[in-house]
Amino acid sequence: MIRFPTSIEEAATTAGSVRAGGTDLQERRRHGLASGDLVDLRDLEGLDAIEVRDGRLHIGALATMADLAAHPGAQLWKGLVEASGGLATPQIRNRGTVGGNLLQQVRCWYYRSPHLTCAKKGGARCLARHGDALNHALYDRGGCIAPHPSTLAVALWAYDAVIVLDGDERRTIPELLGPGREPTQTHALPEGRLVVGIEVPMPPVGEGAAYKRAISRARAEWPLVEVTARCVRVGTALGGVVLTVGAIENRPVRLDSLSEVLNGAQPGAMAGLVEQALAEPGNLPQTAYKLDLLRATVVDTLSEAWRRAGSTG
Amino acid sequence: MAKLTRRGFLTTGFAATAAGSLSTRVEAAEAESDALEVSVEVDGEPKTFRVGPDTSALTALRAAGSTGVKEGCGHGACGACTIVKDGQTACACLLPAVALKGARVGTIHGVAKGGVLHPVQRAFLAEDALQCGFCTPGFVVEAAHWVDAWRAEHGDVEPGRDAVAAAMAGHLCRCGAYAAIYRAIQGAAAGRFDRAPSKGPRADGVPKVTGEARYTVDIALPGMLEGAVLRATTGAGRLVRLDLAAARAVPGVRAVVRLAEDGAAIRYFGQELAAVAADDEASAHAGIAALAAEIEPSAPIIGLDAAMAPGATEVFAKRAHKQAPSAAEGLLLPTRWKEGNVRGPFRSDFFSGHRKAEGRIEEAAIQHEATFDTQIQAHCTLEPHATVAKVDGERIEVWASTQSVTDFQADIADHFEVKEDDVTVHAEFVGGGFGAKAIVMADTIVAIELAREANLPVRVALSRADEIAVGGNRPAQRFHMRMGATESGHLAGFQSEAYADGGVSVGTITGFLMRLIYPSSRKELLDHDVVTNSAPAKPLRGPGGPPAFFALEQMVDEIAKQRGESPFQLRRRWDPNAGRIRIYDWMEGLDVWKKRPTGPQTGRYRVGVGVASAAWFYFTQVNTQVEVTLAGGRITASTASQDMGNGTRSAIAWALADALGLEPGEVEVSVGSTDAVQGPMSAGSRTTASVVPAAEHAAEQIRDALVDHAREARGLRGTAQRHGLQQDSGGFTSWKDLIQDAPRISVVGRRKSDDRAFFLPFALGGLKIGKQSPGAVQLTEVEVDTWTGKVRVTRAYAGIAVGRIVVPALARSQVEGGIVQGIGYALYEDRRLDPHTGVLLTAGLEDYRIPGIGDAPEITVHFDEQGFEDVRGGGVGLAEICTVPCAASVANAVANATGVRMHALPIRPDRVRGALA
Repeated sequence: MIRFPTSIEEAATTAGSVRAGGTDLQERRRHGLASGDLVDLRDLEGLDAIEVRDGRLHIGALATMADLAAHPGAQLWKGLVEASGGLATPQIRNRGTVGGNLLQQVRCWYYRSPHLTCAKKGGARCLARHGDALNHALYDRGGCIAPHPSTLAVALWAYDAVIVLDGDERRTIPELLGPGREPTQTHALPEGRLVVGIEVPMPPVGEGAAYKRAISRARAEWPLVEVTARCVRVGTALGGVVLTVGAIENRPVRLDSLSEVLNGAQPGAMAGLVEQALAEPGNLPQTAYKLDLLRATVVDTLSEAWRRAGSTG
Repeated sequence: MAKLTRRGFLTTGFAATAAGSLSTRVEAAEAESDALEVSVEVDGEPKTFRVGPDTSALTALRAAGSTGVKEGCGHGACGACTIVKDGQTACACLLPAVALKGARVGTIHGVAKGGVLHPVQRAFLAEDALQCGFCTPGFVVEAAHWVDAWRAEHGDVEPGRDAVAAAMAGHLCRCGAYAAIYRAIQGAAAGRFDRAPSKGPRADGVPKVTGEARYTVDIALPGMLEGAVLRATTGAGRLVRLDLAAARAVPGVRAVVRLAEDGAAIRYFGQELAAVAADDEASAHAGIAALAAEIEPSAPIIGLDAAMAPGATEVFAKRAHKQAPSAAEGLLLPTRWKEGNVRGPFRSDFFSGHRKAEGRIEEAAIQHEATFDTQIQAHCTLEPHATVAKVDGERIEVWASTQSVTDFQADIADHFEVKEDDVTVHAEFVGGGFGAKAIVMADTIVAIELAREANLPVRVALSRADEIAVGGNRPAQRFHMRMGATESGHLAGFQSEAYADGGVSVGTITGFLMRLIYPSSRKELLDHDVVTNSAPAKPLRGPGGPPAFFALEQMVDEIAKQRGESPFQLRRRWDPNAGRIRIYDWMEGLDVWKKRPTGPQTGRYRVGVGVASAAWFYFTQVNTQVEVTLAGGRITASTASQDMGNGTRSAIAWALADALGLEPGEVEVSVGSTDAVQGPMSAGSRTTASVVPAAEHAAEQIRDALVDHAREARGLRGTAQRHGLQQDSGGFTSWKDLIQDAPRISVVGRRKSDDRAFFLPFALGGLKIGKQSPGAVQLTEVEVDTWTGKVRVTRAYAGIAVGRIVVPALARSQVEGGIVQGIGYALYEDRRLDPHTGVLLTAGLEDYRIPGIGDAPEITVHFDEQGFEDVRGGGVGLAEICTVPCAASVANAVANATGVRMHALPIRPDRVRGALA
């Protein structure tokens, strides 16, 4: 059964898997990882708008990655538009929506295999933890060890974005995704609820921001590590540093204590401070290398943000 | 069930080889239950699709006849299915068909308007930005869309490589045509191809850039059933039972074939167990489900270490060894099984003084010892293995994605015990092969058996996951190497002890390859096969070569480094091959070499330049014929060969055109059917050296006939010159002129023997090995990010010594593609199985990572055309040699940049970081 609701209420109250762009869901349905009735948002109008209003960036849940990356008003949120313009491929960005990006499933090869039942699919154990976890998390914090797949979640958290649900309820990114200890849970949006939009507060004047990912090929690859960085210049020193990281745990990570260390520091001291602060070795046998990638990507992204930051005196 | 076929490879019935579908497709099943109507405009024409909720736009468009829209991966990674929907490109495979409601869709079939090619199509033709052509429609749709937008915004300004790479990031080309794709797109955007001809150097380019080329997966016969194959979903175990009756009872199922008996051993993930043909895909999969396969899994042996561990489970129980199929291209060479899972050693070092090698190394002034590990590489052709079979009594007609219509014909006739004349095989277009499609696999046998049982045509095609699991792979290898050099810098000797993980197959030989180069030393060359629970390996473009030279050429580089001498200088002393020596001279003069970094570097990003050499065989198929017909002023040629992007059609067209003073476009070449005279298999780099001499022999006969025609019809007498008749009276009449009014002439050209003897006096399956050895040298520049361990190849220079180049543009394309594939092998590709279950993990093109356009460096190709005058036609093939030195060259460049040597492939960030730590 498939339904094409025309209102948010109808969409939220219709039982079934919600399909927006379908770039993740279609592959999972094809391989039997998802099944059942479909709630296709094709005919739901008005949820694809992007606008800057009342000092906030408002993004409709059905806006695409390409829309967001190219939107003139959104360019003030450089770390966000770079993230949406830098993930996946042009064709996927043309079709994939911001709502779908937040709520997609992990890319773990055990999860994606139709022949295996991992913990995320309700199996007894995480097969990657005891198997081949070459691209998995740097830190095993329990639960599933696949990196969270949402690049936008990493970027939006750096901007303290608020996720708007049907009925005008609001969630932070950590609230939307949940704690990540329950392996079957990739996000914490209850069934029957719909993400309708995102509100992002205006960054301070003169802020610089950037998004970067470490991958093995040149382009079009899921990140081994991804980072969003924001900062301002306070004289010759770093200020207002915000750093969020993806692909090192099963949830995005926000490096607030590192940011505190960096605030007031000279940019030249950045690499040393990052190395000192990010010192926890990985606890999975195959992914220890990601610590090096994490440090390098944090430095690269924050350096880029610094270059873009205007002087605030 | 095992039998030795004519050409010497072992097939265990078909249970040891492959076909069908590892993915559980539910799409079609739901399509039936819920018919939705979608009105859409496709390439300007209104259409109505009846689809299900999960039907993809790709399925709907292809069913409606837009077969130029190709399925490459089915999960949005390769872009072969790219269409334009309402002004934006999308992957049709992930786009629900219902999303097309009211949409304007543009496909490859609408890129040319009113029969006039788009500048991007002209550019792709002119630059030869395609090989097999399977990914080409997706590239062309994206590029045309992007170039139009670019020119509207920027005018005719040439975009940089990075802009092109960003725009084309959602496309993958397995042939690796990226260097030419850059040139084509940059040139089209700059307006350089607006008035370019609507033909290029490639004889079959036009149907590929317009989407009209029909591959096996595009064949749809009336009444055709869809076949599906039940495969083992575990790496080891036993098939307990199958319920064939239940499958037969499923509505729509017309035929069920058992491929493994109850109780049969399961030795690899993807092994064929049974097959079903049904009215549609959904019913076929319902039939597969109804088989309710009961499998008793056991712990598989995955990888060399597990297989060689003391007490390891034997993959083949006692006396089952002979069931192991061959991974080798030619004969399976005899050797003994050691205990457990190891077969060998096979010695390649006869007449090589192997007993003295160890001693010479030990007394040498410079010694080096190292172990190298390489990974499993999948062929991963973008068109999967596919067969459409039609059976009419004794007559069997097959459309197959194959590298040899004639070998398929013979093998099918053998297998079904019918006359060869009763078997017809077609392969008009083949979407890549690289060695994976040279011999009949289970998909073909199964399709025929199902068609025979159902008495209707049947199609069987592999999914992308099937293709990576069982479609073919290059074995993983381990080499223990030792090498010594004398005080004066001469090679004292070397030893190679190799172990190959070819899954359940055996026959990997690398020692022979190491004999082809550096002849003057003492060598000990041992090869072992190690069987594991993985699908059989197959020859992959230069079988054994990339791993063998990865090990050997790093050893040579290390000796040069220890001696503090240039690797060219050292190789000049060791390497007697005149072609390679001329290439060394050329490379030493390049700026990239002269300005290479010397001495240790300290920054984060380090640049390195590396060199590696390679040698290969020259093969020719001496029973090759080319039939040439002159009629109505037109020249047509045909042979029972095929063109998988290697340029068979073009080689014949150019050779005939050259011999008769015509333009290549004036010669029409037909390949891809057994209805023609005997043609060569497209494997072992043999095409050029097989078809060109045969075409030239046909041209000689055409010229003789034209001399007669000139005398009889025009009263002209004279002697035949290169491009026409030199009349005794002093005038000159071109062949082209004489062709216009000549009567119908039909001749068969043959591939005669070379003047110089062959390596072996007899032919193996029509194949002869020449004495001349093709040579290649690759110089590579890399940039290493020492913080992240990421390696980027920035520039590559290939020197290729194979004699005369017949079609320069295509030869260049093939070398560029060989380098791109080599970079994939060096840096990214790695087929991985779960160590506990043997299940394929890298089951798609997201996880099995082939290079994208952004990974392709700037490539310079240099041909050394001397030295093959003894070869009929003046030149030999280059398809394999061009990819053989690549991984070694990249590794040597990384060593130059970082001072550390990479002993394992692929050279991943974690390995580089590990080596630097």
